[in-house]
Parts: sequence; structure tokens; C-alpha cells
Amino acid sequence: MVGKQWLNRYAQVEMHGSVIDRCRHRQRKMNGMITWHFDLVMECLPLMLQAALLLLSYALSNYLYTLSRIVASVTIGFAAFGLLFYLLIASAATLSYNCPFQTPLSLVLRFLIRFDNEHKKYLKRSRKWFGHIFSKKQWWPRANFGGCYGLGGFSASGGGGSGDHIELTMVGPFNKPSPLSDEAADWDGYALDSKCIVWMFEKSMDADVIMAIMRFIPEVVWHTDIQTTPLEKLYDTVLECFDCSTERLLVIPKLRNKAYLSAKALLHLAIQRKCVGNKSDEGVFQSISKRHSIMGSDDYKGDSDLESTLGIIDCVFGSSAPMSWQNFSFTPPHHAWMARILLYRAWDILGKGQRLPNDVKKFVLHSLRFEPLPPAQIVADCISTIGLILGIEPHTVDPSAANKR
Amino acid sequence: MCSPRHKAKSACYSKKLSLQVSNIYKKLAIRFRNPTPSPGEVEGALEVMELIAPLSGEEIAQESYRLFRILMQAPASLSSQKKWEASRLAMRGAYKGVEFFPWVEDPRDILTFLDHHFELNTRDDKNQDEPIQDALCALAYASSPVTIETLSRFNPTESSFVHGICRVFQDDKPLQLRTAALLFLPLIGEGWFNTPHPIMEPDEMKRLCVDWASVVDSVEHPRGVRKAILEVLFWMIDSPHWRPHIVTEKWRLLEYYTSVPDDSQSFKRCINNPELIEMIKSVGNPVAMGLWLEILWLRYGKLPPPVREKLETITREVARGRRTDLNRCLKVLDSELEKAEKSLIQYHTWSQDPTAVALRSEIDNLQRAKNSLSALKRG
Repeated sequence: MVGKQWLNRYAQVEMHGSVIDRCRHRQRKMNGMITWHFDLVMECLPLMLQAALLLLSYALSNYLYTLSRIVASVTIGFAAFGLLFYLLIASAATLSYNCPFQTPLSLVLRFLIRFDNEHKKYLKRSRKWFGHIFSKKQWWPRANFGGCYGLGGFSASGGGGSGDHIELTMVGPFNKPSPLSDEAADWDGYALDSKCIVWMFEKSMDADVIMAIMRFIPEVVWHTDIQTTPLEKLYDTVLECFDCSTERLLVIPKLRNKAYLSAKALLHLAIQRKCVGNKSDEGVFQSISKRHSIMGSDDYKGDSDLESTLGIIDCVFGSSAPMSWQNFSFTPPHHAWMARILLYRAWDILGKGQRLPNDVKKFVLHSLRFEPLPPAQIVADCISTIGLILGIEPHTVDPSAANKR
Repeated sequence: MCSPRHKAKSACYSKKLSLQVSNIYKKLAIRFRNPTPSPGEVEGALEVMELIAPLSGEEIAQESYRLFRILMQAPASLSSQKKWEASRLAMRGAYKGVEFFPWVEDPRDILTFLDHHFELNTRDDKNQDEPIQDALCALAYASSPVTIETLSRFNPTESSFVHGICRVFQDDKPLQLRTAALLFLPLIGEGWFNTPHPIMEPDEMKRLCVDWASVVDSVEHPRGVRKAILEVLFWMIDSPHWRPHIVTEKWRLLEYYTSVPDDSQSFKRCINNPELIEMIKSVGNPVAMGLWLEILWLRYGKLPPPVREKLETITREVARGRRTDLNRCLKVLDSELEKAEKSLIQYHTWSQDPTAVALRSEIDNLQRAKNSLSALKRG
């Protein structure tokens, strides 16, 4: 009955909020189930019933044996048949992972006779979890075992934390602070969001959902602790917006909006993941670079946001066409986003000992020559980018990123 | 309208920005002071300067000027080309704006910079207008009395410098640059115009006078500009080499006479020169003659006796010919007298305020001039 209640709670659908909010809610519940080993507990409930039945059969058989051996033998026969049937299906499930009659007993047996690594891990984790609870008096089972780290590598020594938030000093791959060394940022939240995005991408083909995902991706800081990214899928989504039948890639006019959102999402994710420098991403970047052809072009005159985004995608993936920066006129949100993401790009490339890329340089010059000057946030990001050349730490807190949550 | 949150956010960014800018300039100063900088360090510093140069603001201007001074004294290890490139960017950062110009502490650095770019202008095809304009703006708009004093000791008659300045005045140059040159010229006026021998050929002088007149026509004439224009005009009038080349219509600029302070060197020289009235008469420009007579009559009481005698002689000659000129002189004297009396009304009869004392002396001078001129008119 309790299990039924739990499942009802899980199955409740939040009808308010955006697709992203509802997805976040779903992901939070999902994470809770994993953290609290909901599946194990749910499987233990029938085990208790089975144990009770076994005890009842034993007690009944024992009692009837003192009254009438004939009646008792019938009862014992039924009980023995039931037990034998249980043992048989447990053995079958132990021997074959594909057998549909899986029970907790079969999992234990499989672990004991070392049949299946996947389930060995399952039990090992449970054992560790118990060990953790009793040794460290940590009452939140797994929520923050490793904490969450910013871009690049991480160091747990510099920060302290209490409750469910651990602040950590962020150290980048080149022993420099990351552009977003904002200890107050909700790194766990970004990890949760990234899982949402990956899940939504896998589960839905709906155009509106895809657009929602594209809008959502630039709001996430794709930091070190995030292992799975939809980089390749995102690239395919961008490609879908192009007419590939011609010699040059050109955005299909009616898909301009989708092209812009997906290109922005791709650029955001690609640059941030380059900053992280994960080995797992390297293969993806290589594969994208191999099949990448120039996307940017001056055919999108009047849509500087799209033109600049596609142009910088070309620069990131290694084949670029000249961009007419002097003609660009960005919308304020795009300008602000681009200033921040190019700060990441500058940080990544200068950190690797290379020179400031031309696209970043031109963007900074374009922004600072603007009359009147763009908002202070954009100027601050440009100045931080300039400072990076001299090895000055940006000291940039990303209030926009923190406030998004 | 900005929300309070937005304002707070902007303020937070501005603070960070200021800190970041200050850090950048500190690092740049360290790099340029370094006696053994690596090529990469210098390249990086130049890149930073190029990127930050378009940004305006008081802080950027001040820091850029400080960096410029450091660069001009940079160690010899910094290659000459890099040094000039960096100083060009620093000058751009300091003097490109219109709202704020840092005070020039020592004009010698800027004059060296200017001279170098005049030379480059002659040698290369590359346009050097921008650095020249920045340097001229610095000297013309941000010179303190100390700087002006230092400038007066500078010898501006070097051929490259003279030709550089002449080129700046040409019609094909940007108006901003020409305006800066127009305002800079009075600062080197003595060195240029008060010379025993001409510093350039007559046709060059003529060309410069025409170009100078063209700039004068192209700009508005607020008080500061009038003062600069008149200073140069008086130098030209005083100089026998330059006087014949003054564009005829520009004599009319003497109308601005009241914009020139009494201590102006060029004006003092003109006013104390007894031969000048004759010379102006020989120019054959009635407007010039009329205006010059008015100026002298307005200062009648303060003129040295030889000049006063000459003035009276010439006025008598004029009275025999065109009496309308005398009437106009009288009217100007009347109007100036009325102005001075009106200004004096706001002071107490016995006031010893320096302005009141000066006004009383001025009224006395104008009264004397009026009486003398009236007597001359009567015959």
C-alpha cells in the first residue's frame, strides 16, 4: 500500500510552469529515486510479503501436523510447491539476465556467484551507502558526495560547505580560475538541468520541445561535473535547418528562428565544453570538425545575431569565412550572451598559450567602438577578455547565470 | 527608466570595470618598464592597447596618458617601431575623446611624438592624421600654464615640423585635425612669426594663410577660438614677412579684438609698434584700416606716446578724406563707454574692488579718447 502511495506521488504530473520547469521537476523526482534507491526499496516490499507467506505456511503446516497428518501433508505439499516454484524462477533469473522473472533473491545470487558486473555494482553501491551513513554521519545519502565543480578540473580543498551545498574553489585545466568563478552559482542545478536537456532530447521529437531545449541550453553552465552532453545531436539539429542541396550551406528561410536558437545553443555548449577540456568531448569535437562545412555567410544581412553566431561556429570548428563585423547590429540579449561566451573562448584559447582569436578580437573592438557604449555588463566582459591577454583574472561573477535559477 | 535592481547591477559592473581597467594599465606599465621583455609580451601588450583604445572615459584617458609618458621613457630594449606603435595607441586612448582630455604634464614628449609622426607622414604613404590629431589636441586643449611656458622655449622652426603643420592645415585633412592645428598655432606663434628671417618660402606662407583662413571659415567662433584666431592674426600683422599674405577678408577678424587679453604677446607687439599704422595703411584695405584705428582709439590712453602721435596724424589724414570712419570710431567709443558705465553701476561709488578700479580707469581712458577724437573731428 505504501509503495502504491509512493508511485502515485511520482506519477503526479505538474501541470503548471513551462516545459522546462516541468522537465526540471520530473528530473528532480527521478534523481531522488536514484539517490534514495527507490527501486531497491520497492522490490524489498514484496520480499516482506513473501517472507510473511513463508512463515505463515510454516506455522500452519506445523500446527496442522499436530492435529492431522493427512490434512497437514496437503498444506505442506502446497507450501513446498510454492517454495520450489520460487526457487526455480530465482535460479532461472540468476542464470539468465534476460529472464523476465527477476527477484531480489536472484540479484543477490547473481552477485554472490559473480555473474553480472552491472548488479555487482548495484549491491556495492548499497553497501557503500550504508558504510557512508554510519561512518561519516552524513544524512544526505548521495546528493553531494563529489560536489560540483566549475569549468576545468576541480579542487575540493579550497571550499567548505554545509547542508546540500558545497562551495569549491574552481581551478581550470591550466591552473587558472575559470571565467565564471562564481562560488554562489548553483552547480548542482546546472547538472540537473543538463540531465533534463539530454533526456528531453532523447524522448521528444516535438518541434516546440526542441525549440524549448534550444532556448534552455544557453542558460546552463556546462561544467566539469556534467558528463553527458548532446553536442553531436545539437550539431545535427543545426544542420537540419540548412539547405544542403546547394554548393554552399544556406539556412532554409522558414527555419531561421530554429537555426539561430540551435546555433546559439551549439556554440554555447561547444565553447563551454572546450573550456572543460574533457577527454570524452575530444572525439565528438573531432568528428564534428571533420564533417563541418562553412555555415556563416553574408546572405543573412539584417540578421546580425544569426550571421555572427554561424560565423563563430565556423571559427570554433576550424573553417571560417570572413565576417563583416562593421555591419553587425546585435539585439541586446544576443550581444550580452556573445560577450560572455566569447570571454569563455578567450579564456580557453589564451589558457592554451595561443593568441587571442581574431573573431574575439573583432567582437571586442566592435563592442567598444559602439556609440553609445553597450550596457556595462557587455563592456565588463570585453574588458575581462582584454585583461586575459595580460593574464589578469576576470573576477567575473555571472549574476545572469545565477539568477536564471 | 532603469529599475533599482538594474541600476545596482550597473553600478556593480562599473566598479568591477574600473578595477579591471586599472589592473590592465598597471600590467601594461610593468611590461613596458621591463628592461628585457619577450617579443610575446610586447605583442600581447600592443594587442591589449589596440583593443582598449576605442573605450572612452576619464579613467581610460588618464591611464593612457600616464602610459604614454612611461612609453616615451621606455628602456632602449623596446624596439623603436614597437615603442612608437604603443605610444600611438596610448595617445589615442588619452586624447580621442571630446569630453575629457588629461592635462599635459610635459609637452616635450608630445612634441617628440608629433615630430616623429610628421617625419613618418613625409616618408610613408601611411596616413598619420590620427596620431597627429591626438598630439595636437593634447597640446591645444590640455596645456596648462606650465606647459605653455615650456612650449615657448621649444624651437618650432625645424623644417619637418614646419611642413608637418602646414600639411595639417590643408583642405583635404579632417576638420577636427585642422581645428586642433588652428588652436595649437598660437602656442608656437612667437617662434613662427616673430623671426628675423621667414621660416618658409613666400608661396608656402601664402598657401598657409589661405588654408588658415579656410579653417577659420569652417569652424564656429566661440570665445576660445576667437582668442586663438586673433593671436595668430596679430602675429601675422606684426610680421613683415607674413603681413602681405593675409587673406584680405580675414582683416575683418579684428572685430573680435575684445576677445584678446591685454597680456597677449602678439597684441602687445602690434599696439606698441608705431610703424604699424602706416604699414596697415599701405595694405590698401579700408576695412583693415578702419578696424585698426578703432582698436587704437579704444586704447588711446594706454598707447605709448609715439604710437599716439602717429594715430592722431593718421586720423587727421583720414578726417580730411572719409569722415564716416571718424564717426564710426566715435560711435564705437560711445558704445564701449556706455558698456563700461553700466558695468560700474553694480559697484559702490567708493568700491576698491579691482574690477571697479579697472572699469573707472577704462572709462577715463575712453573719455579721453572721445574728447581727443572729437577735437580732431572739429578740425
